[in-house]
Amino acid sequence: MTPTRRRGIRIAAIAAVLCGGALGLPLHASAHALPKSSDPPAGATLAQTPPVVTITFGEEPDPKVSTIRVVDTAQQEWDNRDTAAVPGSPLELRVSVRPLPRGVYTVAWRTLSAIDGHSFAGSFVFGVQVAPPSAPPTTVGASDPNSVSGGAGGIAGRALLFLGVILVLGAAFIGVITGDIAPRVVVQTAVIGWAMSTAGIVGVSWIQTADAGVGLGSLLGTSLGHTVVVRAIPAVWTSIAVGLLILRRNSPQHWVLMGAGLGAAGSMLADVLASHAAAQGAVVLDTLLQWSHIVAVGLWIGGLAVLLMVIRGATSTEKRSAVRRFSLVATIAILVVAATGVTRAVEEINSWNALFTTTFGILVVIKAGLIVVLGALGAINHFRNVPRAATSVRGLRRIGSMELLLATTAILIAAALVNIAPPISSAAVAATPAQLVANGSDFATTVRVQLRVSPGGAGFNQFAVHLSDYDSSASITDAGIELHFQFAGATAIGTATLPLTNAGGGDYTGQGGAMSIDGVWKVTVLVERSARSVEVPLQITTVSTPPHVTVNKAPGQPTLYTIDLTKGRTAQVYLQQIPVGTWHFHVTFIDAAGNELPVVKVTVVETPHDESPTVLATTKLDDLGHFTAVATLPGSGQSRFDVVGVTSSGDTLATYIMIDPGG
Amino acid sequence: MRFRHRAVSALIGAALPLCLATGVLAHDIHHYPKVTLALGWLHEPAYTGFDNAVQVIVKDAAGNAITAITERDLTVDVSLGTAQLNGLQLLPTADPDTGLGTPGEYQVHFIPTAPGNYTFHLKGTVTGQVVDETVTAGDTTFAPVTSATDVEFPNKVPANADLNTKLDQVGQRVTDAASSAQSAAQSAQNTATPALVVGLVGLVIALLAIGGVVVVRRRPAG
Repeated sequence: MTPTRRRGIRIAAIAAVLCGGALGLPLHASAHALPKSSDPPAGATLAQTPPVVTITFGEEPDPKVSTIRVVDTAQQEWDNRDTAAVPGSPLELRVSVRPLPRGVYTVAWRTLSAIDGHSFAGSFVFGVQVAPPSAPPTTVGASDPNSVSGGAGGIAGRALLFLGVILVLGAAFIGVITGDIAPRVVVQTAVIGWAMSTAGIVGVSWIQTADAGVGLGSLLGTSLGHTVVVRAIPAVWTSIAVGLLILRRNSPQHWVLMGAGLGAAGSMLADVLASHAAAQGAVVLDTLLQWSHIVAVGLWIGGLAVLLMVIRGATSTEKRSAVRRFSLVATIAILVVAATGVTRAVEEINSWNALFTTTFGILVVIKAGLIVVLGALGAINHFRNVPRAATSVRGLRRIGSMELLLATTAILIAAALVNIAPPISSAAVAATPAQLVANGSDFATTVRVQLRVSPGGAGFNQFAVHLSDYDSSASITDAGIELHFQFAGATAIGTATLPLTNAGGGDYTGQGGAMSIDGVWKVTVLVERSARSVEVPLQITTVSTPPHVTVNKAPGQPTLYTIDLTKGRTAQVYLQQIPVGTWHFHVTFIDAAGNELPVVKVTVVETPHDESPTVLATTKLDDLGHFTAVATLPGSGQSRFDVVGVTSSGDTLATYIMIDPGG
Repeated sequence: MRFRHRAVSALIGAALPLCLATGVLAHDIHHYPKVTLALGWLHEPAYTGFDNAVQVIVKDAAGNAITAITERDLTVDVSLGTAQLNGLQLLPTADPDTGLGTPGEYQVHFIPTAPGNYTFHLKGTVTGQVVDETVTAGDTTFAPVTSATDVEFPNKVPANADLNTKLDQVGQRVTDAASSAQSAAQSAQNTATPALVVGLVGLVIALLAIGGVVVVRRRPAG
């Protein structure tokens, strides 16, 4: 193998490594406190008011400055403004809500990540006893997970911070390896880098504070305040070192240069500690990888920038010595950048599809292209220009300048990437199919149960129960679950039992036609855990297409509602106050010929607008099928009346109507 | 008259196995060559917190009650998941001295304190017939134990076991809240300390800078 060919293979190998490293371009990829799931889920139809609204985020939100609001369609707020983290589960925030009348509600959330200080906001809807619109959940405020947190200011601040610490580190590195070639250049570069990084730290902190709406008075009590303190410590250290460099600017001491470099590396570590690398998973390993990555970039790019200035006017021996020393460290740094970048990229992007379909991924691809070119230029310098450095540095300077230009562009893109959620953390709450959701707990408050019924109508349904500990919200995986169904009030309809299968992770599933007709069902969830077995009572009102109702009003007469049933049959209902203040609900079933149907039994379940269903006692008023019941109507608002009649021939007639006696 | 008594007895004798076999009594029926056993709750529905009993009715092939069973002949193990109550001795309810009770009926009382599908394991010997049956509550056997809330009137009251558990839960939450408050206070102290250090360092830097400026200005030119 000829030396030229060997050199070519080396260049190709390094280029390949750089291509891989380019995939890890996020010099410092950060995640964001974006929702992963919620309870109630987005798009769900609930049978009753949930006691709390809980959102699980992909990254720990700071509960002191994060909020969840629940508003109705008139923008009236129904939460108790007590947003807090779920005890023992820092990824979850919850807010308690007042009893919700039937309607559609919007959950608007706003978070500040306790890890990276980024703010995001979003919303989703759910319905209580009515199906909400099928609009998908949105992430707003910062627009969407692909948008930039902190805007252009955030990117500029981060870019200043990156460029500054890279320059300080590069100055310290070159100052140490080149001795006294050009001390003033080294000190000047360090001062410029220090000024840029200080401005960057102040800018990033100020923008994050403003984004989060945190006042200076309460800053220290928040996670953002902690981050500011952590950033300030190495910044102060660097300031002292740079101050000492200024005092001895003509002959800076090596230990002071190393102190400045350590300060810059400390600032890099502080930034990494406030990033997604320190958020979850293998925190220590990810933090070390991320820190190594950015320190290696500092030595490589920062060192190159200072080197090109220092060797100007140096002797041939000094040039050769300086360039060779730098080249050795830069080669190692490039390999570290590649290895750590690949590892972090796999963690952050996690799929080829996300690489090409998300803003984050596309920026990574662009930056990958830049890094490939940078790697190739570095290889040209390493194999061609470094050996010639003693005689001429023109080639090194020309290629090096191109490298710096491209590297600056790559760092700007990295600054943008920091402020965008990586694909792995930007999976927002997914819209769920129409389903009924009921939440409850046992009397002793040992477990919480969430029952989801899909599609939620009468007939065959899928049932899914999630079982969790009442206090810690930890999933309970070792229970046996059985559902007991009883139609509210109608003894003619038998009870049914459905055992569920353990699907793992605290989920239990099953399917069946236990809810055979439309109306209100009492569902008892039996949680079998030996001596800790408990029952959780729930109520479900099936989802059904509203029946066609004809309303007849006549002066002096109660309003008559005629509800269309199947086979041309109808149910006529009306409310009457006898005596004043006592409402009587009347129902009569009519056949297709207009004759009164003989009905042997009628069950009426009333659900006032913000209360639980009540089975009304019925009285038969004639020999055929005219029944009445005393209603418990509240002062205002609609009430739902579910009516089930059993004819003398055994047919079951079920329907419902919404009536507002004051409307 | 005697004929009528015989006819009624014959009808009852014929109807009893039929009733047992169809599970009308919500008992689990086991047929052996010379013995028929019915196993279930004494009271159904069975409610948590209320006295109940495992009830066993023993008849011979002709439908006559078998009364010659001692407490050592038949025992029952009751379980709910991993919770077990073993070796309960079944006692006859019939009292030959007073004539009260039902011949062939044997019971062992206990109070179920948790809802669920209980399992009865009946074992022993009945007139030479070895018996070993394990039966769990279900649609075709006997009823599960449920909360009595649905049948309580006029007030709904919790079972004692639920009340006891709830008191334990609340007590633990109070303890946790107190501990959390202490941690929060400590955390606030921890935050204040580094802030103070940063402030002091800033002050030192300012003094050094002033000193540096003074030194540089006093240094003679050239």
